[in-house]
Amino acid sequence: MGVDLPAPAASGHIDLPADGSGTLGDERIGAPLEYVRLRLLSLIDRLSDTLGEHAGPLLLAARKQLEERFCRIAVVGQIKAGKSTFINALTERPDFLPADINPWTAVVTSMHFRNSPARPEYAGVFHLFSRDQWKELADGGGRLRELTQQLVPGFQPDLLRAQLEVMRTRAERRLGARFGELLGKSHQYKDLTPQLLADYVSAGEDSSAAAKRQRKIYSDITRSADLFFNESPFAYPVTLIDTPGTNDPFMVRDEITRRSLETPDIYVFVISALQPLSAADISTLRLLNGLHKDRIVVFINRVDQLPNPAANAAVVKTAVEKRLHLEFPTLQIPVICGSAWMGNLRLQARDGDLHASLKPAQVKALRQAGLLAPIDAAPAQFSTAEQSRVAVAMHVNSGMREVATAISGLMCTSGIAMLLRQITVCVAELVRSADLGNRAELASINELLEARRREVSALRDAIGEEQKSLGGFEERTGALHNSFQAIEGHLDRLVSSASQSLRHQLCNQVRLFADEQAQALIEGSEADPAAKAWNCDVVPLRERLLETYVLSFEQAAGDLTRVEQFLYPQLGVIVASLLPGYSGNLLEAPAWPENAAPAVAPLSDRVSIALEASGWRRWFRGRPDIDDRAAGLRRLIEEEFFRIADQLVVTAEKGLGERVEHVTQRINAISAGLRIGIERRTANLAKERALLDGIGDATSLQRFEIEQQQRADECLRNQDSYSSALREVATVIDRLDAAHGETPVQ
Amino acid sequence: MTGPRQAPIDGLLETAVVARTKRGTRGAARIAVLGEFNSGKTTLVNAMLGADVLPAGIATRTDLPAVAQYGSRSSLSMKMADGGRVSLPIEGLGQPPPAGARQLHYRLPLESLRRVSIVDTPAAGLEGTAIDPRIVQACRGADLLVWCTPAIQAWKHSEQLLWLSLPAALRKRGVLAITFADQVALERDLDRLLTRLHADAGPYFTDIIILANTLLPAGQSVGSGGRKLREKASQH
Repeated sequence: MGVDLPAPAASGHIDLPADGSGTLGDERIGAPLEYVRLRLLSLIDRLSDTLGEHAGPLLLAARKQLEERFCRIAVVGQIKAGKSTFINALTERPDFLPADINPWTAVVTSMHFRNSPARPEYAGVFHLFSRDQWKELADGGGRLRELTQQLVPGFQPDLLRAQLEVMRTRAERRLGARFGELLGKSHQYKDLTPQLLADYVSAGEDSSAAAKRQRKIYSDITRSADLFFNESPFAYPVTLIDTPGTNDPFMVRDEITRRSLETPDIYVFVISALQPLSAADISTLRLLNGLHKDRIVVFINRVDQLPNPAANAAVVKTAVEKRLHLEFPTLQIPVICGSAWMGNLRLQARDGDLHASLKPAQVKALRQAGLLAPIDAAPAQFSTAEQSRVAVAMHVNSGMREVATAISGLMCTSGIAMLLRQITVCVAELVRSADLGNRAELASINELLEARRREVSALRDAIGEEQKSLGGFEERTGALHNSFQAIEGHLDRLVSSASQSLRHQLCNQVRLFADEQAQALIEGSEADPAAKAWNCDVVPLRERLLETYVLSFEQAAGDLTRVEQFLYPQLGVIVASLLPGYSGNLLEAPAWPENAAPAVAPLSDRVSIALEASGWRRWFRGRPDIDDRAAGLRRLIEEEFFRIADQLVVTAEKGLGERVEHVTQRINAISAGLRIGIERRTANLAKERALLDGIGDATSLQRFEIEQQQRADECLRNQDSYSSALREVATVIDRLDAAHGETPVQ
Repeated sequence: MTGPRQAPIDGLLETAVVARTKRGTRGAARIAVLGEFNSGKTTLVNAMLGADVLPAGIATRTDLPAVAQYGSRSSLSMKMADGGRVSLPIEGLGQPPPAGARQLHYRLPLESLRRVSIVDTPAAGLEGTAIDPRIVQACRGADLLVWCTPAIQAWKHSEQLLWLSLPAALRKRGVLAITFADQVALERDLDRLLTRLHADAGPYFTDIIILANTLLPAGQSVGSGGRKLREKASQH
């Protein structure tokens, strides 16, 4: 690796912190959110005891979300951009994922960084393709293959087929008779070794070397890998996803990556400084842009390999930012220059392990940069001071700190932050309504005791009063519950009518385009009967579909917002009449983020119509009749794109459904809180009644009085704990607001 | 890199001259250099010329195909779509080329150009997945087409699409050159890279060669004979 390090520190290019200690005191990634997560977990623990069974399912669901929903960060980029090396540097595990001259990562690898002192049950779990999944891949993606054959008699997507054949025979040869049994299995390991990674995840290992080591190579049939870790630079639990590179001539890996792009919260897009933002990079970015509007960090890697790193990196960065702004004028994408290689060097220096990894030319470069003592002969070991200097300088120059800060910032505005906020709001609604019920209960106990002190008839009256008041309360709560259900129904109907209209519009676009293309084909053939080729460009159709999709989604989202804005004040009136003094958030309609249209991944599906020129020529030759050609073309376009339209509709439905879900969760929290109060009061009333019937029994009366006093005390204790819970919730919300506001705007 | 190696630049020039002779065409042989952006095209051209004539750099891109031919004194002209020619100052265009511009023509008094004239082409693939017709046009008369792919990120899908978009007749004269090979630290890694490229790209080229450091002045460049390594690779 040819390394040109930045100019010596004296000229100011290497930015050394004053203490030179090698630790830069950085906050761990996602620390503000982790603070919130832990506070919420402990709050939920305390509330589970106080709130009783009605709140149980809600609190359990919230706890599950908090414990299991990791922040998902995908690392994407072209082949050999340095994704795996970048992950090693970011997770502070030098040499964990191997770097290789050929594309190495063949399998989507999820690295789960938990935040728990307990050792994970397994260190690695590898999922192998099931027979069906394998067949789909081996047959060239079932439907794609079928359509391709229908499209062009005798035409084969030669390359993909050949590659899949290679994969299959290689897997069968490597795994022998067990091949069939293995499909669909998962393999679990307590300890991870580099060998295991090579066997399951590597594309690069050649079989002769493996045979020498007597190992089974599973990577051809491994669908995904899950690796588990405890220690990491992440404060918040994170799943880091390493993907096979895009723009790989081995199309199978490209396809696997595209399918894994949908779920992450944040993307780190690694590009090479040597060929920054090629056309392939831009098309990946467009795909990402469609998936998640603004959760992208661009890392320009391999800056150390530029002829003159300090000067060239600035030029490259400016060019990349300019290009990004041109392509995505509304996006604020942080762009960071650096070198994952330097990031790893820093870790090796920090661990006192520098010498092993350096080549003479690199030692020389570090000497010239003034980081190592200027001694000509290579010493057996570098001094602690030298290693620490290198560690600090490499950390600063690797760009890893900036990446960590950018990721941390994006986390605070990501789906994770929204989820935490949603859980907090839910808990608040629950506590507030329980608090109100509790206050009503306390008031009624006090009245009962008071009446008891006066005389029996007054007690009877008071019980009657309580019965009446509780009856009214129950009735209004029931009414509230009904209107909640009506709202749910209304919102559901809204979503289903929106998706119907979306489907209709998308299909119309497809039909229109198919007609246009068929017409153009006929006209073209008539104008030039000797023509030997035809080209059908489906990009305009994709663009029209995208436009229709985004417009329809925004329209539906707007409809939802209008309904919410109308409904919430009404709800507010009902709740206020039921619970005077209620001051929950329910009275305000929630604010939704702008441009919230969900993923458009189906639009990037590979379609058989996007044939290369030679494919079209063959197709053309196979159909001499003009009308036959036109009809065939129309059918092809419709079949392919109706399927894509269907997938888009499903995605839109899901996106709208999530919003409806959010509303219903909140109103359910209120209902649950109210029901807690009703239940307690009902139970109490029954007891009072029994007592009243057996009146005159001095001991039971005395016991009644003691019980009432105990209940009153409990109510007072609850009141305290509710108030403290509400204060806690306010702190958490403040913290979330602050984290959101701190997000660096570049 | 170590070991006795044939100087690949001379080998390339020789191959082009032999091909020219075989085709029975007179005059200097012609080599066209192609590749994606920053793939080391212009530095290879300069290495072949034996002089830094054409600008190379990370942010520089050639906008038009540039043909360098032998001339007794330096001159520069621009070939237009209508076949006409416009003379230019030798320092270059100074402004973006007009719409009808097709090629730049350098005449240079360089010894190396007496045997072989050289076509430097603009980066392929900046727009779409097919080679620009102006580049195809400039390659038509070439005896040898050299596709440059950088060692660290060699032979991507986009390169394959671009190369395959060329007419088959032109591709038959193609050689794949691995540039910036000095950025690969281990000889073993180069072997493995070559093994992969022979599998993935081998069928589309007549040969695959390694260019060690095209940033060095001509004559100092070292490289390895692709055939020798290919023999090694086929033993795997």
